[in-house]
Amino acid sequence: MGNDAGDSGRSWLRSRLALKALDYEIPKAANRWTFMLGGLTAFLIIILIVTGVYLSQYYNPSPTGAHDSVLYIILRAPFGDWVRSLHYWAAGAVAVTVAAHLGYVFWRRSYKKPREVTWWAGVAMAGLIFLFIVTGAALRYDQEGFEALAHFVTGGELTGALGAFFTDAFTRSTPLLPRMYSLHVSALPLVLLGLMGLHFFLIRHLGIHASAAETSVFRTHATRLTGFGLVVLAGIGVLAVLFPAGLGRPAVPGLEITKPFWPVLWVYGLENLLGAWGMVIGPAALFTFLAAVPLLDRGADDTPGRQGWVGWLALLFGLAVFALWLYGLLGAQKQHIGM
Amino acid sequence: MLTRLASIGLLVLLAGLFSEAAAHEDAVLKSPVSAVGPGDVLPVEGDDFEENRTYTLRLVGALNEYDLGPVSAGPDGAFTVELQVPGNVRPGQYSVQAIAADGDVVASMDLTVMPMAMGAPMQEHMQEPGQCADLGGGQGQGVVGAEQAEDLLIQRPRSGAEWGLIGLIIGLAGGVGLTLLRRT
Repeated sequence: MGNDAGDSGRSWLRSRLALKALDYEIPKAANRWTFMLGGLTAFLIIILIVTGVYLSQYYNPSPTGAHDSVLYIILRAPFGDWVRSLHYWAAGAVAVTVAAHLGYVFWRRSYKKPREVTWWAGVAMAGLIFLFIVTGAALRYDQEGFEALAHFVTGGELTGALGAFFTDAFTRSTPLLPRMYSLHVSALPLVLLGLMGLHFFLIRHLGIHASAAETSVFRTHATRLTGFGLVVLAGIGVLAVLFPAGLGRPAVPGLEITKPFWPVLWVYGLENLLGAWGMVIGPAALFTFLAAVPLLDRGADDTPGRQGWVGWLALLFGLAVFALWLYGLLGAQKQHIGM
Repeated sequence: MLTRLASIGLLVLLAGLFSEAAAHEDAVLKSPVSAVGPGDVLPVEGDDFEENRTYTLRLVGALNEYDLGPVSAGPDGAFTVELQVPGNVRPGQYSVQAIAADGDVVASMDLTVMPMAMGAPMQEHMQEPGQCADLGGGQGQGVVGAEQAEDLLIQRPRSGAEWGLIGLIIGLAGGVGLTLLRRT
């Protein structure tokens, strides 16, 4: 009786939600965890959206109210501290899964014909994740957040017309903090969701770069991915309890004494070497290289790991980013933008 | 029968809403000043309050509240008062609220409390990163120590119910996740 009710319930859902559409064939290799890094990233983005919407109910994006509103979230908002810490740890986890996914897809040479646009959509999303991280860090409006905003202004001034949006010259009607908040919660998510739609559409119709000798159904992949995602959610939930996200002191303008959120420490390391230009040159060089990969690694051969000189160049970039990250982490705090 | 019950329910709901709206006057609080410093005098005018009634004025922020004292509306429902902003108010965004005897907030207005070292002409530049060089003073800039770069030490209160629900969410997520992985 119980099974009959369960079966009829499942059957009701399958027909109303057209779940049969998920039963298309995909390579069985897609059920390995290495092929799920992109889907895991999407799962974490959903966590970030849900926790972000919650936080936005209590956050005040004005310069005079921002820091106190974050304190309010930590101290007074129901589950505010845990939800904020979930958001913080999910952001760090996304940085890891994006890097891992990018690296694995690069190694598999899944950017080759006909999947170039899939790759470019992915690189664009990785760039957006970078922007999410730096705009989100600024919203704390503590000493570190204030210095992050100051970096935006300096970077905007260095890049002339391209960076005008990030300077005070853009408008006198509103300060920079609410504009970065607006980017973080509306413009960037809209673009990201659009690119995700394109990315998933292309994956669905062009397939993944894996042997189709053995097949499975997408529903199995989706189920496994959901399982992974929930286990990761439990993991970051525990981290959020044990290591809640911190908050610095209210900013003292004119000081540059903090280091940034850990995923962007490599940019900080590059700034230590090149000064303020490091924050422009580093990301520009990395993302330009990533975007150029399908154009650099041409030819019919698509054997994983056989990128030749492009592979060595990518390894060099990877090692450089890691070395800069270590330098940023362990090196002394330095002034970059002459605050 | 069902339609009748639904109509009666809707009427009761509307009556409740209307009674809530009619419970208090459409009072207004205003001030020529939108930003003050701690210890400053804040001129406040009230209009359309209930005549000859006494209200309590309170300064309410995200984390703190400060009592500004009682005020009485005149026969025309208006009042003018100069309030002393407490000297220990944290800089930030606040709401000045007029509270009736029954505890309802009948009117409010926004107010920004600026840090002490800032004079009025600097307000528009305050905490704008692009103008760091223009800021001559700030919150204790002359006494900044190494701890300015460190996180605040925050005591995080959590109730038993919160712990329980967090544990439930983590447990459910982990349990369902592992179950789905085992099934596939």
